[in-house]
Amino acid sequence: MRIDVHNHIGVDPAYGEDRTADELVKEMDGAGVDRCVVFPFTTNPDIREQNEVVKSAIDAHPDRLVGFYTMNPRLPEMTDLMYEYGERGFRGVVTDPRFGIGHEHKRFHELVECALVLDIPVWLHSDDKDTMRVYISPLESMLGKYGGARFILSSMYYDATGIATRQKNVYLDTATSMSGSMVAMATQPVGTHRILMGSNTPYGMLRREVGKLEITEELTDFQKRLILSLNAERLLKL
Amino acid sequence: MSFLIIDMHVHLSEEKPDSEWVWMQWPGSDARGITAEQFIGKMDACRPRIDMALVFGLTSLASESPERMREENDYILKVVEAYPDRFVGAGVVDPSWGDRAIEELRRFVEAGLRVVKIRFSSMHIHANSEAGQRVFAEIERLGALPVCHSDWTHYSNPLVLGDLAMMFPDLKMVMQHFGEYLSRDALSVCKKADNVYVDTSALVHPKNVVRFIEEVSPDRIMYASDTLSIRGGLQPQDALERILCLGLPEQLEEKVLGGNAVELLRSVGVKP
Repeated sequence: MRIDVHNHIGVDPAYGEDRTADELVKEMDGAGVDRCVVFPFTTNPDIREQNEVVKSAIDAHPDRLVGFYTMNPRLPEMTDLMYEYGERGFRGVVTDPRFGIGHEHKRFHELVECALVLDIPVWLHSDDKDTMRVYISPLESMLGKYGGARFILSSMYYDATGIATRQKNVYLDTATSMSGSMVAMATQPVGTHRILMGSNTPYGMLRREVGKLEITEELTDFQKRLILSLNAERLLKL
Repeated sequence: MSFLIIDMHVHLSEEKPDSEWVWMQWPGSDARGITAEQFIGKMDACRPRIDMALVFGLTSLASESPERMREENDYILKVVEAYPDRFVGAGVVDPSWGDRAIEELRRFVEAGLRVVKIRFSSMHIHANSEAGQRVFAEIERLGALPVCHSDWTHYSNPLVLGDLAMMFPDLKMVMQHFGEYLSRDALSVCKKADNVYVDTSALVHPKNVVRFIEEVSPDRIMYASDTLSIRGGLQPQDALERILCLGLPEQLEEKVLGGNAVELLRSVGVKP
């Protein structure tokens, strides 16, 4: 079993991508990936429309795709929407400060509180050098405040490893690791049990993500299984 | 493969006595670094086999003394002489040494190292500083090729390196690592400055290779691994997979894996 937790579908207005679920499933077949977590591009401000794209995708491919929705903490009806999306089969929430609400903000904290009650993971960007800057102190204060919540800190940049070392409710994905060896380096302070395969398609490639983990000599077969599927199965209750 | 495969980014280290190792490292840590012979073993073990590599030093990128720079560059001269069919050598320059850096640059270029490695962020000097410009002017006068580390720091991000490159439009340079996480900035610079090449070492998303070929040029991107240790970190086979997984047409694959490097090296008088 191979599960990838970082895949975008829908329209990315900033970078001109338009990715369909069928295209992703075709890529999954080619790379031998069984299931993928999918969510909208976070550059797209129209979260309702893009979340419906994800809903259609998980309805069309219920055995292959796991849907997360994007949430903009500015929306007054945020928590109502989160309950609604939960009832409609979404399994996690994606947000980050590019909606203009920082990790220290009251609304951001309310989003996490709602996710905690709904028992769903919260997917966050860490500090994607290409697209955004995240201030670490408010991020880490928020992560520590909600020790019972589960976070996926996407894109394993250097700072993210340190944060996950200190905050035990944080999972990391592998999307920005240059090699499998660099993923293995994070297992020393963090532990392999909190690392998830995540490729960031369509910008990344499933085949590359699987390949870079499987070629790595510094991970045992069991540790590879943890990253490739077992951690995601546990986190997402699949 | 019926064409040359060249890894354009490898740091070699001379084997050191244990006493030097234990002075610098914590007890229990693994020895880092990779010697010429160890890397040849890796080149031969790769599938497809790597024919040649551009090699340079590691610890003198920010050098504690000009002598240290010279010592590492001498090691590179030695391995290039010993393995002329496998290695093309680059000398390392730390521009913060001013006149003595220029002196060392002239020495190793005259000795045969026609490629110059600079890592501005190691010594916390902006690439487009006066020191950077001075070194580039001398490299241009000598007819050599600068290969510069890029990253997201103030000192050597793609925009700062691009600024330097545009001051010397007739001097070709390699922006190593494709800007690391700032790959979009690297693309932007390369669209404007046709004297800038990139290598694929430390590249996160392989699709940026395709983007470079389509949006910039198929002729200015080169396979590279940034290997600097016997194990762990970045390794040549994984770096090869980063290109091979794209399934490029053979003509383009040939260019990226070796053809472009051959042309670029020839332009400064090096015949791989």
